[in-house]
Amino acid sequence: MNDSKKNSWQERHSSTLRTIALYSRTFSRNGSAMLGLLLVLLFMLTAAIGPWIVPFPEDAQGVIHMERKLMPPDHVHWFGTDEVGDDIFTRVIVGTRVSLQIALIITGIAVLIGVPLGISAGFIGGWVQELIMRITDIFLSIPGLILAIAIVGALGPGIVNAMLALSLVWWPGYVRLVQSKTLTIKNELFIDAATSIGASKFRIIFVHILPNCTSPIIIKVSMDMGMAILGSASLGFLGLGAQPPEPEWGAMISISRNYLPTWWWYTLFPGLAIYLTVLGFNLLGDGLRDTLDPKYRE
Amino acid sequence: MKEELLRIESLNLNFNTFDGDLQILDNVNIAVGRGESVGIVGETGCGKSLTAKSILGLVPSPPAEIRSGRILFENRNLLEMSERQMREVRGTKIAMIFQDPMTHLNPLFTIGTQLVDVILANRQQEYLEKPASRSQARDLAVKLLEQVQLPNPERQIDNYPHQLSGGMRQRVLIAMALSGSPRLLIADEPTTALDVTIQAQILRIIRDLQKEFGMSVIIITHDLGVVAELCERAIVMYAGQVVEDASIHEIFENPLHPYTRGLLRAIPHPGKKEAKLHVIPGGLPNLLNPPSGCRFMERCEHADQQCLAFPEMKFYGENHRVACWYSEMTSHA
Amino acid sequence: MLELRNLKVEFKLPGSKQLVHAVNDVSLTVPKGTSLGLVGESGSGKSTVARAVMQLVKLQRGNISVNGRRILFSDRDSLRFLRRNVQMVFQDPHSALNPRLNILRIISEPLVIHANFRRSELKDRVVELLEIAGLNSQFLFRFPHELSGGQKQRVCIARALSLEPPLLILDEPTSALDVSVQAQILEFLKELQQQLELTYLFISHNLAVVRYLCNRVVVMYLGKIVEEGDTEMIFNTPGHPYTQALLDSVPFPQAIQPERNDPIKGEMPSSFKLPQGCGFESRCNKKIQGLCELRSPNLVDTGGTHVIRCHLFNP
Repeated sequence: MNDSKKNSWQERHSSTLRTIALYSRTFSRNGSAMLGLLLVLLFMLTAAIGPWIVPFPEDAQGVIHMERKLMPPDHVHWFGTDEVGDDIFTRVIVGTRVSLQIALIITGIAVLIGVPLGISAGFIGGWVQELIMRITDIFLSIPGLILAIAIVGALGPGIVNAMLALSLVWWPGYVRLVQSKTLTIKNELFIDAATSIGASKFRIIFVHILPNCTSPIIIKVSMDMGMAILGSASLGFLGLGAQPPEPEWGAMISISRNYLPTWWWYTLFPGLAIYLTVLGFNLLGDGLRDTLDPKYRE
Repeated sequence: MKEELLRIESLNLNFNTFDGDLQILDNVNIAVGRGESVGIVGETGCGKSLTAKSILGLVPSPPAEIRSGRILFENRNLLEMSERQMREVRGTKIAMIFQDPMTHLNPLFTIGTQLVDVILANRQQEYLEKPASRSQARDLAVKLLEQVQLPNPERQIDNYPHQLSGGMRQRVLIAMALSGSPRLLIADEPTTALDVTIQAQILRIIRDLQKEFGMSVIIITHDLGVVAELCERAIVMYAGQVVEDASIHEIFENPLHPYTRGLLRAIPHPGKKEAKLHVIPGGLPNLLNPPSGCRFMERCEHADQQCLAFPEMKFYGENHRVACWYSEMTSHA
Repeated sequence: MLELRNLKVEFKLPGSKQLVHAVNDVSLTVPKGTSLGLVGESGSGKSTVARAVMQLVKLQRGNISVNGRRILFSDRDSLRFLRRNVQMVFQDPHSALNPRLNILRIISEPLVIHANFRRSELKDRVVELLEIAGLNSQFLFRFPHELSGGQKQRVCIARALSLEPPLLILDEPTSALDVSVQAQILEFLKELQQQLELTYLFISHNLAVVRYLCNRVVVMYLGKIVEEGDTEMIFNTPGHPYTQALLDSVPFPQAIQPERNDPIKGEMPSSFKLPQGCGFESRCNKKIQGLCELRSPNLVDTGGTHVIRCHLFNP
């Protein structure tokens, strides 16, 4: 009998590694999911190193070069220039990081608010559940963007307020998702088993319920990232989010639409950036859902 | 020897998975005569359910793959039939009932509606009289429910599935299965989810109906007792191979295959107090890379070199076939 | 070891105002070192009794005492005492294990909650428990979905044994398992009981298994005890018509008794509205007209250690 004192890291995690391998293989068979993954990785990479490699870094802050204004795309300015002569390529690339930050913060706050509420509602039940779910229903019945506009309207335009507004619009979705999953898990025998060995309610929530909720949460997060970017771009477009000279894609389109159709490149490239990013996250989310869906697990 | 109704010949079935091909069924040969009741017995992983589902083409393919073999029903190969041809067979010539009645009944419709739908669908065949209207079909439905001993059929027929108990739902399913006057009824673990007293009722109903209609019945189960109650013949499967095929009397009085023997000794006998249950050592073989011959070899106390070659089914007496080298040697003793 | 007195459990089904009268006036005693079989069909209340003992459902009335000490839902200390003295092995091993935890964490959880072990000691203790359960240290880092049914049940048993409880409640521990695996687990449970001097409360609908493992049997119907006695006596000469019907229903090639009766008709009445009389009279072929449907019989001691609840046995 081998009485090893310390199991190697590999031994301890062999099951997990095998599961990851299985998921990767299933995922990689899905063409659109791989495309989504590619787009998202491109997005992340651009956000990470983009600002360091752009050709005209000062243009990101809106330095004015009137002599270069509204030039069509050429070998120097790949995406052309805008109405103050700034290189659109630079601004779109730097805007990637802005978009990523916004998306992460919005989704992060939504998860931090929504998940605990959802678990509490599902686990405690009774009037607590009623209260939480009814409040959630109220928020869900108001169209998201309208609510965001209203909140920003009250707080004043700006990136921070836009993020705040969108977070408040996003958290109800997580409450619903997590609450229903919690209810399902609550009826499993292993919860009874945990109670009967003396686990505190705290322990049951964190060790038994929460880890089993992660799959649906991950899927929703990846899809939400795309929608959050779209949402903040919409607010930016309405002039309620990022304010110029901030290189945010929506804000850019807000100004550039005045220059259509003659100076088409000014609208096209930020628009394309939004489109590809949102598409990427959506495809990734779909692919994750197909992979993590228990039916495919066999 | 009864006239043959169904013959499964050399059926080989694989399952494609992430890790490779599972060789689930290996050279399965089963024959069922007209009016005969046969039980296919085995434990989890033996392939009995897949065998039954293959008859009706209910195995999704991929990931399943039938590598070779035929299933002859009334001299036609079911495996070669198109989906449309299979639809004519299902329900009217061969009917099937399953383990959990609740998942096989639509919760949105009354059992009357569902039964009538099945009756009308099944009776579109030329050789059966067509009921002219829904109300005629409904009368037939009530008659069928009476035959399966559902209490108060005229009232129950308007109930929804969730208003019925498990035993009653299973009766409804049996009624549905009978509505097409099938030649063959396949029952996949029909009583496993039911209480013991209800199980006894359902088994009795199936037995009575079988005699009355003269149908053949295949019962899939892991419970040897159920087979004993209901069947004339038992077929024992292990890890995708048929290991023994004999009359009920022979299986219980004179089991020849070591697995059958082990199984019988592992069951606690309600009739007498026992000292110790026999434990079959080991576990199922890995079906990705199964042993070449007899798959029970690793767990068999009589295993030998020759077991690496698959033992052909041999006859011992008119009603008894075994696939085992050891029994071949010892039975002549 | 375990004493239940006049237990009554009712609960509401979710989404409905109707009360389920699951357990009505159940009293029983399990002496130390013995096995008591609790037999009945679904709706009889046998599982609810087990859950009540484990404090998974609340009692409307009655007492539970373990090793002489009363257990109260509101008393934290008595609950801790309960957990260290009584553990349960659940019916379906496939859903009794958290799919996200590995076996080491699953088995060590009771120890983590109740005792203060150092990490290294924890692992050693879990390996010990795995070996008692017939597994080995290779299983430590595996996850439930990689195990077979029998292996999962052994893990459940190892988990239950981790706090060294003298009493184990086994709720249909082999119903979800194959026959050959069942034989392994039953043999193992038998040996375990002798080795560790355990007391068992064994719940099952399978009479053969109960006969194999238990000294005494309690038969339940519609939330009440209808018969109780030594296993051999009950099986050889069942008194209550329901017990007789249960024995008649067991499908087996060699009949338990040479003449087996036809299966009884009808089904257990619903536990929503308890009948006024005996409860079994709707299906009983020996019922006394005018008496059985009106008055519920009491439990009567017919001498020795046999009690029965039936008008036929009332002196």
